[in-house]
Amino acid sequence: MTMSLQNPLLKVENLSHYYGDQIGCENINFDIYNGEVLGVVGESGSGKTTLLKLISGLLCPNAGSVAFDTRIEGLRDIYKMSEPERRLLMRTDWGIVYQNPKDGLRMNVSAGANIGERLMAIGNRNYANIRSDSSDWLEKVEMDLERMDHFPETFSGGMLQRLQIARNLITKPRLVFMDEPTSGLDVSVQARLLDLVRGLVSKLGIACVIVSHDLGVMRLLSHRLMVMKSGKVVEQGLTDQVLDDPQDPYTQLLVSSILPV
Amino acid sequence: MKNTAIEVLAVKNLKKSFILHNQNSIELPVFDNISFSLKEGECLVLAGPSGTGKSTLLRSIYGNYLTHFGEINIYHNQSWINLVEATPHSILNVRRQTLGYVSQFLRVIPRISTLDLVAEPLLEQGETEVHSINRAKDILQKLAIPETLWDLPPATFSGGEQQRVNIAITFVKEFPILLLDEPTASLDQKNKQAVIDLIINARDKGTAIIGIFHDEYVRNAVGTSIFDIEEAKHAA
Repeated sequence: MTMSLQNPLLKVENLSHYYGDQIGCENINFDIYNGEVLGVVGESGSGKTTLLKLISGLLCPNAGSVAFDTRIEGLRDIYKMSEPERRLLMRTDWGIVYQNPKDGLRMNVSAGANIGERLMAIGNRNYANIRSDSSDWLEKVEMDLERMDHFPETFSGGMLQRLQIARNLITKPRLVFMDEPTSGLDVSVQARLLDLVRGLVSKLGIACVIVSHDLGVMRLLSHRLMVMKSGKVVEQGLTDQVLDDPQDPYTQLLVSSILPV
Repeated sequence: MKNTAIEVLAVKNLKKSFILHNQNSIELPVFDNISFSLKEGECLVLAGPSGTGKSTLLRSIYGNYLTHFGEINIYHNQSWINLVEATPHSILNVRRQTLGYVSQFLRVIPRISTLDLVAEPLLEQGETEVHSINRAKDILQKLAIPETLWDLPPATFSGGEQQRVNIAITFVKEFPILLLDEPTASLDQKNKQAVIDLIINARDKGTAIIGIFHDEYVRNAVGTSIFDIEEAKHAA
């Protein structure tokens, strides 16, 4: 993991979004640096997923800005780019791992094609290379190579989630967004996926925004933690500090509500 | 200890209290006006009965507990940084390069082998795989963790073994400053000695150490000076 104090990779300023008169999220500010994992926690309806959509180019905010450090021009507001520019960014420098793998995968094409798709989308045309890259990634996410030509429909939840991760990481994105990546999985698979994500992030130096309501997952994966309630960030700081010495009343309640194992 | 030891840590007028918002926002003061400094090669023993805030002081210095008043100055990357005012990014950098902390409990991702856990801090720093693994083996050997356990995750280990793995994860790197929270609490005499040797070795190489050691034998073996929180409170 290389994390230095250069320019932020993503800079979020005064970000707000409303659904009618309901607050989606309000006045959010934070930076993410290369190789850093930022966790976002909060109960259902606290605005975590809205925030993730806003910063990953899926939902245009009502106010504020989301700037990404583009390879050529530096920090640029992603909502002031043209649609094709933003699409290219989403296919190359970003990855999005959805809570429900079916939202992030094509269920009617093979696992190999799912993994290779992003390579084709950025112009790779050599089928043999795409196939060998895809099988590399299948191995990296610890899946059997013989599943390469199988359809995702035949995969278990944990396998689908790993396939989704491979599909996203193959273009070596610099920033990956993950929405509850371990939520639908049983604990043994969860631990395995955690280990996988942590290993990939630290080896490849990818920055990551992970939304989860699981504080245990956050303690092990994220460097910094942001706590949301009713669309607002009530507290943010070093993960272990927020969990061990929470300052905000809501965070104190949240942390003291964890059931010990 | 070096003769011309330089200062590497200086705490000034540090205050810590907890506010319990869900219990009528009562404020629990722990300490106030704590000041001391630490030099290279010094091992400062935090003394005082249980509940006086020794662990809280260590955790505050590490940034695990948030402090608002006073200063925690750390000599990091050839300049001074005050952790009370530092951003999370800077604190992470200080923790990666300068400040190591051995807590009382091992907290790691499940399913990873002991050897990989111990090698990881070096790999993170960009050391080669071979070097990192060799260093990890070396430290595990010094701490007398049986080789048959190296490939297993530490979840099933005994309390004493887990504690030594925890020590190995920190001591595999050579931090300029170390914070030790009862590193020998659940160890038998032989293993205690192995940890004492590691601490003395680091100290004599110039590492500055702040530690909590309830065991008098350990305290006498490694300590070079004493800081009594209770006395400091009354003096304040």
